[in-house]
Amino acid sequence: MAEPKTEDAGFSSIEYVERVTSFLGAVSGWCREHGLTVERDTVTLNEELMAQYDAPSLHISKDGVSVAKILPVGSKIIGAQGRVDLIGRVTRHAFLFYVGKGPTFSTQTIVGGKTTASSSTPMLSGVDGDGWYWIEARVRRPKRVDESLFLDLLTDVSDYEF
Amino acid sequence: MNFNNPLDPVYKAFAVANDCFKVATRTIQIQHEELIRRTQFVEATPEEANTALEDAAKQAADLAILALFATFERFVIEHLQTANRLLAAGYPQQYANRLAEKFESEVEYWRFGEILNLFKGEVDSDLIGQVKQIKQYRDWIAHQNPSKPTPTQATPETAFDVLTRMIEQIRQTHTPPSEEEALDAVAPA
Repeated sequence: MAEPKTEDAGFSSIEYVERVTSFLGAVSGWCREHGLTVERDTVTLNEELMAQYDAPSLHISKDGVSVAKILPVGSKIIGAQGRVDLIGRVTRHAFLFYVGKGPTFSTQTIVGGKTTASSSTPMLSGVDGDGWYWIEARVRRPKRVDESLFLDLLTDVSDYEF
Repeated sequence: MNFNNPLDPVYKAFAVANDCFKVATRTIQIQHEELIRRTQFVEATPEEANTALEDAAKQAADLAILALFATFERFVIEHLQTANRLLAAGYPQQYANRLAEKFESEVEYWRFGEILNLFKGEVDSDLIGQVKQIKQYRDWIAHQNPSKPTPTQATPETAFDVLTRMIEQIRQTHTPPSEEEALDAVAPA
């Protein structure tokens, strides 16, 4: 029986922390360019079948007033390989880490008990390589989190206008 | 996802609830007394109100996963119950009918993980594995124990996507091809 790929024993908290650290580095740069202040902190995560570990978080503020925070949620996420949440005073958004083209599923055509064709299809269209993605809620399409999208989402969670 | 998806109403309700939280948060921020009258937000500090809303939004996300999985379970069990027709067609007829009735009434109580295993082969086993993980997360939400480590997590969005995909695959692979299609499929090239 093939169990879910997210259970991959080769994936570790170290890899997740590296990915989060790298992402928060990029986010910090985007925030500073737009006059925002950022401050690093850590959150202790306790996930099943893993030792407790610390992962970095980020607090974003303007003139001493909190705008939003980015919190690590966990490395073991169904259909993804890590999640962080962008949380503002209005709402929150989840960012998911996908590898390659993201999760796939295979389909088989069975005629008379025999498999005549099989194919593997990505579960999500729009994942084009390793990275952090936000999924648009209405049509369920992942979009890579770049500076422009991040700033839009920061406004959405906090009502802070650039 | 342009088919009749039983999960759609649950997911849409969650999306609406999310928007309501946004509206409520903004209403409280501007202290709009007319709109918050006769609610617990009257006389609450902004911090208290925001904490209450944040907690409620988290609960709503968890409840959305519970509701999505409950609806999915109902779809799968009802689909499975239709297999009683296969048993009812057996021989001898009275025995076959009783067997079919017993199957239909008792399939509700089968272990859901074992029911999911019945779909292996036609439905992608990784997808079935993801559905099982959502079930584990659902169980963890239902019996939440803060001292226990968090299992593999899901957002309501991921739960909706994965469960919808499984419903699609069940419908696709469990619909027998028409006679004509079957003949075409086995005809030599």
